[in-house]
Parts: sequence; C-alpha cells; structure tokens
Amino acid sequence: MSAQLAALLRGAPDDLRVWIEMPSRRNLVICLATIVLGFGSYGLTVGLWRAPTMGFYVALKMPALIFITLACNGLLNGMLALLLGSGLGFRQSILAQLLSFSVAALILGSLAPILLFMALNAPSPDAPNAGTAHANYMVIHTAIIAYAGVIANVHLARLLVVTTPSKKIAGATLAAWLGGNAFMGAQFSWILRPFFGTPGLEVAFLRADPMRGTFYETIWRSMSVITSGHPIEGFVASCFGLFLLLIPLLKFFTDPNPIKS
Amino acid sequence: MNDQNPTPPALPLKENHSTEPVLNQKATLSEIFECLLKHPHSLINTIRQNDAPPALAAKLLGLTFAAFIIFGLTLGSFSFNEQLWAAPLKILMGVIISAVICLPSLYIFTALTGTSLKLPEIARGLAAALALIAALLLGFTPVLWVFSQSTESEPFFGFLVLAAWLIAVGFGTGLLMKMLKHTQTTKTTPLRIWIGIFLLVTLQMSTTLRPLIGRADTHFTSEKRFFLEHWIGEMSPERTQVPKK
Repeated sequence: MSAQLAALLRGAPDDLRVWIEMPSRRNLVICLATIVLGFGSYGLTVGLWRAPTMGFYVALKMPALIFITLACNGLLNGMLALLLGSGLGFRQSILAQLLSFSVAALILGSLAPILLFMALNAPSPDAPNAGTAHANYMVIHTAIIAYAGVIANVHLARLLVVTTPSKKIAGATLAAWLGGNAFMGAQFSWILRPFFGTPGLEVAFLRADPMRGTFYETIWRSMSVITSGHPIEGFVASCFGLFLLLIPLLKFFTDPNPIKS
Repeated sequence: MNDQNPTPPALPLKENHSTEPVLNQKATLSEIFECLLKHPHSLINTIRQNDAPPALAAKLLGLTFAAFIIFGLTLGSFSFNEQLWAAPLKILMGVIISAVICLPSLYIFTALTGTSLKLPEIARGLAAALALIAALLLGFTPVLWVFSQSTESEPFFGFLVLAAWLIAVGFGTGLLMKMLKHTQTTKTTPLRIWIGIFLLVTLQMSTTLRPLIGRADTHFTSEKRFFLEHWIGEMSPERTQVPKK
C-alpha cells in the first residue's frame, strides 16, 4: 500500500494511468482509506484547539465534506468529462477525483502532527487573546488547505493529460471539475460548519438550522462590511487571490511538455 | 527532466464518425443516456437513418420529459406549495413551446449552411439536443436542490439556475453542431446564430411563464416584460428582501 501511495505522490504518468485505466477495488479502498485518515487526522487538529469534542467532530466532518461534494457532483462531473471528450467514464471520473483528494489527504495528514503541536501550544479559547489566536489559526489552516489543493490539482492535471486525447481536453475537464467541486465544496463546508469553532460559541456538530443561508451570500455580506459598502471591489480582489492559486495549473498547461518523468 | 522515459502516447481522437454503429431498436434507456454522452456520433448516425426506429424516439422523449420534470421539481422546491407541481409543468411547457416555435427557423438556418439534412432529421436532432440538455440539467439537480433549501434569495437562486441552463444549452446545441459537421458542412455561422435565437427564446419563455422561482398570487402573470427588464426588476433591493415562503 505504501508503494502505491508513494507512486501516487510522485505523480509519474505511467503509474497514474494504471490507477485510472485498470481500476481495482483495492485501489478504491486505498483512496477511501487515505481520505478518511488524512482528512480525519487533519480535521482533528483543526477542531482540537476549540475543544477535544470539536476535534472529534471535525475529524468526522472533513472526510464527510469530500464524500458529500463528490456524491453531489458525481453525475454532473461524469457527464461533463464525457461531453468534453475526455473518454473517461463515470467510474473513472470519480476515481480520478478520489485520487486527487487522496494526494491532498496525504499532504494534510502528514502536516497533522505539526498542527497538533500548534493547537496544543496556542492560547486557549477562553484566553483574552483568543480572538487573535482564532484568526491566526484560520489563516494558517486556509493557507495549508490551499497549498494541498493546488498540489492535488496539479496531480489531477498530470493524470488527465496522460489519460485524455489532448491537453486542451484535459484542461477543460479539469476546469469543469475544479469549478464544480470548489463551488459545491464551499457551500457544503458552510452547511457542515463549524470547523474552527469560534470562541464564545458553543461546541456543536452542526449549527442550528445548518441549511439556512449560503456561503456566497455570507461572503458577499462580509465583503460589503469589510469594504464599507463596496463588495464588488472585494470580489475583484478575491478573484485575483484565486487566480494566484491557479498559477501553477496555468503554468502546467502552458508548458509545451508538462509531463516530465 | 529524464528523456529515457517518454510520455505515453495520448489516446487518438476518432476522426471518421460515420462508421460508428447505429443504436439498436431495443436499446434501453440507460444505453440511450450513455450514447448521448459517450457516443453522440452513433446517435447522429441513427438519427440520419430514414427508418430510425420510433421506439427510440419515444424513449428519447420519455428521458427528456422525465429529466425536465425532475429539474422543475427542484425549482419548485425553492418555494414548495403549488410550485411543486406548477414549476415542472411550466418547465415542460416552456421547453416544448420553445422547441416547436424554433423548429422552422432551425430548418431554414441549417439549410443556409448548405447541408443535406432533411426536416425529419433536423427535428430528431433537435429532440436529441433537448434530451442532452435535460440529461445535463438532471446532473445539476443535486447542486440546485442544495441551494434551493439554503437560500431565500430569488436572484441568487435564479442566477444559479440560469448558469446551469446556459451550460446545458451550450452542450445540447453542440450536438446539433456535431450533426451539421457530420454532413461535411464547414459553414456553421447560420446555426450559431440560430443557437443564439433559441437561447433568447428560452430566456424570454422563463419570463413569460413566471413565476418559476418563488410564489405569486396567480399561476401566470399577465404583465408583459422583456426578460432583461424582469431580471433587473427582480434584483432591485426592495425585491431581494422578500422572503421566499
């Protein structure tokens, strides 16, 4: 199993192609177990700062977030992959995305011990400077998750380039999957909140009435507050930030020979 | 970089689509669904046969109707109550009326490209395109349902539905483009113009049949409005404050 995971992390074209073109139950189990353990252990460190119960809840919710997002978008992503001419069937599409999330899970899981150390050494939630600690904690985790996401998507891009007929199709398929998963993932993370556990709010598995409101409306309102009633400027700035995250992928697709063994 | 391990060759694209097998008359719904997505040229070959099986057309229509009804139910679930039956019916009605009124212009615009396609083939092609639109909308249904239950903002939900519709129409009408290219025609501008017209018709239809999202005192609104005017009106601050239930 460790050899397979190492091959997955290396992202060598031949290894990646085998995962998709010869899907096996064993590989599927490896992906699922990696996501549960990787995201679960990372989730534990996210919630642990607020309370041990919170850590346990987030350990359950983080892998659940991945699976719910994939289940919700599975049919659509499979259809888009076929319509864009990738040649990947529904099962292969799901497996490709699971592979990508497995890479993210491995990165996050590997950082879990460090973040556990950080959680144990951060000011407690009832300390006077808890607000600052909470803000720092959120920024650090957001940066780490963004990094894991970028690397996972570069791996997915490599996989798509070797399994689809052209780089253009690979790029279109990746954009469709990435857009859909990011859009729904953000909303599901809103539904499954809290993750970080705001100091002062009670520890809970889900907030009361979790389906009320959307991630995007909340972000829009927050931007309006932050920018003193100019949310469009905030939106443009956020788009620029997201664009920076996509630079590695853009570089990958503009490279004349993106797959170098 | 290690040049000793060359990149595995990419899978070749099929160029000759006319040799793809036609669909079996006894094809199941799932086979037709799969064919729409995976082997559109096989479906086009079937459509272009003069003796295309009627059972196939019926199944294609059944698939389309079922998918549009499920999509309409999702829209209705934004407000519940009478919209649970009204929205699916209006969606179905809107799509059928749009297709019927756009079919003559589709035939004319397709003929302008110099293609050899005949009216029955074009009609079947439009039905297949609608089936593909319906299938894609079915794929969007879980996404839209989540937001229908989460937001109270009609403009926000409307924007999502519009985005899903535009994507679905983009891919669906792509099938018509493939069908045109299948006849070795290189002139595609007239069909592209028709696609724009079809899109405008469906968008106006959504305004004519309003409310599709949210509730009103009557099932249909007698006030006549251009769709852009209606959307701008719906996005005004006083309208966005109105709760959905």
